[in-house]
Amino acid sequence: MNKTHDELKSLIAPYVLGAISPEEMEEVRSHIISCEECMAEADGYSGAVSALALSVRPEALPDSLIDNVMRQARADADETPAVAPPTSDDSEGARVTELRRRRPVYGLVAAAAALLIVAVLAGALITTTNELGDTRDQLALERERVEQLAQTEGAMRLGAPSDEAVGAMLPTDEGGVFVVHGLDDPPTEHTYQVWLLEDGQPTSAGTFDPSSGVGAIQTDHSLDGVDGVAVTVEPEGGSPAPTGDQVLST
Amino acid sequence: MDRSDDRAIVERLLEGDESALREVMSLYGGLVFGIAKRVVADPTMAEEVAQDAFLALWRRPGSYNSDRGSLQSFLLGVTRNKAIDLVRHEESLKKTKDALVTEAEATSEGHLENEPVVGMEERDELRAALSSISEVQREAVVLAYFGGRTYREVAVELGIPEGTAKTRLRDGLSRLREILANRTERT
Repeated sequence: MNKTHDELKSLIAPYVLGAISPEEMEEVRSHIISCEECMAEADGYSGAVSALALSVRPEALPDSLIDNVMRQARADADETPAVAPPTSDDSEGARVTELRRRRPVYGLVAAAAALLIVAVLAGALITTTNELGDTRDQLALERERVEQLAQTEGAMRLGAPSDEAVGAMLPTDEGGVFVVHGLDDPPTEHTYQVWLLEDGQPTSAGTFDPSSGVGAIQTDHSLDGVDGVAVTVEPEGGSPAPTGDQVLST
Repeated sequence: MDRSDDRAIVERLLEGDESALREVMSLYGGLVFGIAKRVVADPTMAEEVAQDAFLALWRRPGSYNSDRGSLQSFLLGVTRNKAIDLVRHEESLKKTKDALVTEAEATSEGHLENEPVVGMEERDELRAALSSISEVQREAVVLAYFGGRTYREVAVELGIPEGTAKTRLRDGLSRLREILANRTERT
């Protein structure tokens, strides 16, 4: 049942092209997280895949299409603001500043590997087709991989009250990389947002929507001085400061 | 357009600035619609795919991360994936192998009115790169990327073993990567 390294490696090219079944997509993704060789191979193909898209001849957009998009965008704007304003009594993200903090000791971290994780996961998150038949074994394996990442030197582990989700923030030369496993989809018209805490002040590291419970983002904000990380539920598009429920924290 | 321009547009989208959405359509609309039409057999449905891609960016501008690549590549990826999802669910919208290969191999497709020269030159170079990989590799890559076929479907359609289909995809991407790397070194 379980594929060998060579079998999984032979699926890397189909994986980056999205030419793979949802079940195999998950298997390959889980393998890539722990295999630098396969991760490097997947990352190496990213330029070629982008080139395929850019080789297409542009087609003039019909005016009716532009009108339809603008009409729908206006209708959206009338229903909900693109960014929900922070509540006045919570201006500095009090929910998040209540977090337990710890200051990590940064050391030698496989920064290149961490960046590749994001490149690969990001690709998988975009290409996955949502109909995934994960087995419990596969899910346990993915969770274990995130736990392993959280234990690497300089990393911060994020946990959830229910203990169902686990996340890791890893420092890199250019900022940090965040991965999470076990998160349910956010509520309708909401997203997850990652916050870096420095002396209790939250700074957004970006938003993400998990696919099959797995999410990843990369930030160019240095983790030096960051003493905690949190994930909250925010309206689509993200918020300038935390406003929603906190689902994960260090 | 560099990454700081991309970030500036996304900032405006986050603020709900409709003119930013218009700008995105003006800058990238041609390629977005182009890739939708390349994948989806029905032009009306291709319009819907392009429309969905723009609205997805409008509704979730935060899903774009400039560290991962350009806004253009992001939008094209979103569009291609929406198009592939559609043709996988609706068989009648799938293009035939012959149509996909013919479109990929067309040597002169003309240019879009008002298209920037830089875009035209880059596209011509990328098309040249794609046409310089072997025919069997190109056929497999095009079926997978633009046709929405899995490697197993590629194998069945081409009448080759699954292992050979995987090898052709891998070798095709590797060759394309080499050609692009040489091109970058030259420039």
